[in-house]
Amino acid sequence: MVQDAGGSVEANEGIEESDRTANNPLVSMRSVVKRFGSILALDHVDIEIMLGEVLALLGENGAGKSTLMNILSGLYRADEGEILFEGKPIVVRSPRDAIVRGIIMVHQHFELIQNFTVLENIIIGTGSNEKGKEKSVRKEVEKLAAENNITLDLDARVKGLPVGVQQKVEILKALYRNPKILILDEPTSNLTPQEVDSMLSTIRKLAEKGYAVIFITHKVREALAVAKRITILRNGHVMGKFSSSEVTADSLVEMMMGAKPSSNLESSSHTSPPSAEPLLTLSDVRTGSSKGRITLKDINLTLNPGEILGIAGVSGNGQKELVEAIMMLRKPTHGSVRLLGVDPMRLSTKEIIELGVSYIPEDRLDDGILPSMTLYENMVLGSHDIEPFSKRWIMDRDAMIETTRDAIERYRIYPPQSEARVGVLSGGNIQKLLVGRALLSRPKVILAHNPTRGLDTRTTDLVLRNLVAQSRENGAGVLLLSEDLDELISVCDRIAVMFRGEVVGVLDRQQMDRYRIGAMMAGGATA
Amino acid sequence: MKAQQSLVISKLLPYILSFLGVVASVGILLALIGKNPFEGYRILLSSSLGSPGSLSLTLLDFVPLFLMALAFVVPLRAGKYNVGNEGQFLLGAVGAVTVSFVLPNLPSVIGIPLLLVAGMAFGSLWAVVPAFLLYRFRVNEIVSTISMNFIAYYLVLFVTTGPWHNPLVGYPQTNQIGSNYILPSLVRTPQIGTGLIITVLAAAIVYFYISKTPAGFELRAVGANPRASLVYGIKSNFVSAMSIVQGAAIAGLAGAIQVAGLLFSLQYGMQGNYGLLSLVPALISASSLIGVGLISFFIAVIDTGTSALQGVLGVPYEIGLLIESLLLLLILLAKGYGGSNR
Ligand SMILES: Nc1ncnc2c1ncn2[C@@H]1O[C@H](COP(=O)(O)OP(=O)(O)OP(=O)(O)O)[C@@H](O)[C@H]1O
Ligand SMILES: [Mg+2]
Repeated sequence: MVQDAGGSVEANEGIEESDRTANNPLVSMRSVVKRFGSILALDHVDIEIMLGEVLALLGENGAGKSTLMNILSGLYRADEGEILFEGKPIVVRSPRDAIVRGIIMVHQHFELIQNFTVLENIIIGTGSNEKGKEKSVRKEVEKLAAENNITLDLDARVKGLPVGVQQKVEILKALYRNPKILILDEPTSNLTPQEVDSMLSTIRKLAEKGYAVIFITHKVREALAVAKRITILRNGHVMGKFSSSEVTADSLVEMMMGAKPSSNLESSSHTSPPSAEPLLTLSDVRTGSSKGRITLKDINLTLNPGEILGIAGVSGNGQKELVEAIMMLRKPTHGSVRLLGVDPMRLSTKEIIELGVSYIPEDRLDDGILPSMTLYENMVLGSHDIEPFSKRWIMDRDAMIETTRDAIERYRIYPPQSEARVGVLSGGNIQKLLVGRALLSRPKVILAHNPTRGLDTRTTDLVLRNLVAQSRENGAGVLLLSEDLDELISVCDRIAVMFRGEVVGVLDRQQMDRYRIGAMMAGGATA
Repeated sequence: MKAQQSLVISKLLPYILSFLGVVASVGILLALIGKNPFEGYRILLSSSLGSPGSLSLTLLDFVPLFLMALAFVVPLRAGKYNVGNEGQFLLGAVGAVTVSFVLPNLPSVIGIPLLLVAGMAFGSLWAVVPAFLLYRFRVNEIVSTISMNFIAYYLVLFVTTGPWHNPLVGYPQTNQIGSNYILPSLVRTPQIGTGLIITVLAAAIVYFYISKTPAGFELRAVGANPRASLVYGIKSNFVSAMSIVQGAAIAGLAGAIQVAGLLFSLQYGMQGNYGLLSLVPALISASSLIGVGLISFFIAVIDTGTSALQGVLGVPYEIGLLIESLLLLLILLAKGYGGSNR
């Protein structure tokens, strides 16, 4: 077990700290073991949860964070080990057993009912929807939202709401259930930098109010910013438990990954050959309105060979509509598109993929995977009917598996089994699969929508490197839509900022400035 | 390894229990109407499996049952419920007699394949309407295919009482098809007919289609996640609509085989309970065609056995129906339980 040297400097304080709190953990999980078939997801894990503080559960993709908390919240059952609540062993057989003790979990993948309104989703199953109570319930929810700095339109239908907004609905829904212990599984991965800050302060306040908050993340900085204690998981083992005052970010990263973090991405220097024809040109593109969706307003963009064009914007300002318009999943109603030398307006999505366009969708569960099918089948989705995966109307299983093995190795997809069903992969590993698939066949244009969401630092780095390599070495054009400004600034040649369906400005490298972009994202300034 | 074993057991246990439940309730039912349960069990088994002759009967029952289950499974893989396989079966039978009456003098080598193809064509044409409604207007296929069933019943009534009506029987039934159209049987005892061979062949083709071809991949992909399939270039709506037509072709084949291999004419009510019974294997074992085959055989055993009970013990016909419905119910219960077991 790694015990970091950083602890020794403030050893006294650290010991005092843990002595005081270790006396009365509200919940402790002891020696928890969980297997999924042959995968050992948790190997004798111990954790303690105290009232009035934030515990960060830090670990890479597939470390077992979600599994551990799914056990506490009654979704899974441990194979071995016990759960102590206020010192006494308890049995948590179902989410209900957890809920009655005030243990509420906000999952990594949302479980909102799409056709219900925000308010309906928040109060569902609590008996608050009886006649006559509507007014007071609404007041109550509004008050709760205000207390926690959450702004939401309670009457909006959840369907089509940006993920960042859905995240807030989930949290408010959890708070409405009066938790003692609130488990948040990667609550910041869907948020913009500003929103992350306000989320972290909300979390801190919740702890001050006396809740026990468990904050699952693989972002070291966020863990340090918000948590009092940090427990690190790696491959189902606890790698160490620290008070956040006694560790440094670097040592945490090292323990999480079991290796020194790699150097930062060098910022790119790209000069597109002046004569080259753009890979993609959008002129005055508009899309029709549909419920819950942003309409694009006169979008003008060009993407050149070898270029990485960033699209910055708060989630839900037309990014999804933009990529869907290019993929002809949502046909433009006005304007023109030129894609790889042709007019794609009359092409099917399939024909667009065949032109050499690959797409990493934002919504990985709904738009990205076939959960009940295997890794190798998911890997070839979209190129399943062409060589080398299909020859003369017959699919070549060996070819699919070989390609999948490569991707598993390259992106460290876990479990490393081509035959595993994708539905059991952790969130980050699903994302790795989507990236691996998109870069399978030397695409000419890559539409990457939040390609690093939910990925740990090492994999984020790997994905960005691969995108950069595709553009620099193969001359691909990359449209990188991201809410992570640092990521955009580190790899993009130009950044276009979207606000309410419009491109409010395009910045080149010299003009890239976090604050300026942030202001544009909020609709405050133009280029 | 041990964990896996216990997983298999915990998956199978509900089915075993439900099977025992059926056995027990058959006994209780028999006892209630004053028959000896053990005598009942003996007759049930011996009349379905006990001799080459009785095995032949079971196999004759197995053929339409298995094909109908496949007709349900293929669309099910794309997430569609083809409860109209009964109507498609009837249309396949209509197609078969139509060929034999319109072209009465074809030699068997041409005539029989033509009859089978006509059955498949008629069956799938019957599904074109629901498929189109689904594709174009998103009309739920359960509702539309069931409606087509009712139209099929009347169509059969119309054909069996029309110009092809057999005046010698007091029942809506057509004349016999010519002997050049009758499926030859290859082995006498137990009787292995061409119908059985075709069925096994059809199952092999379905297996190959679903698991080895890109089109089958698309079928499964759409069943797994239609939206993601669409995003990656698969025409999800088209694939799911076509899956019903494909399933219908198999149901049509079943109807044609039933005419050419067993009944030799179109008969009102010839669909029996095959539509309902075919749901059992299809729903239990949608992911494995071998499983569908095994369970279909098992149901054929019960089906044949209970009809023998009627004959030998004088058990009322309704008891047979009751047992079969009970089986369906318990198995669905078992499936529901097995499915919710994490
Ligand atoms: N239902 C399941 N069936 C089989 N394996 C599972 C299941 N759930 C999780 N696993 C496996 O257990 C391991 C731990 O997964 P878990 O979801 O807890 O990771 P995580 O730490 O939350 O990662 P991420 O940051 O990617 O969400 C992974 O290898 C995963 O593939
Ligand atoms: Mg997780």
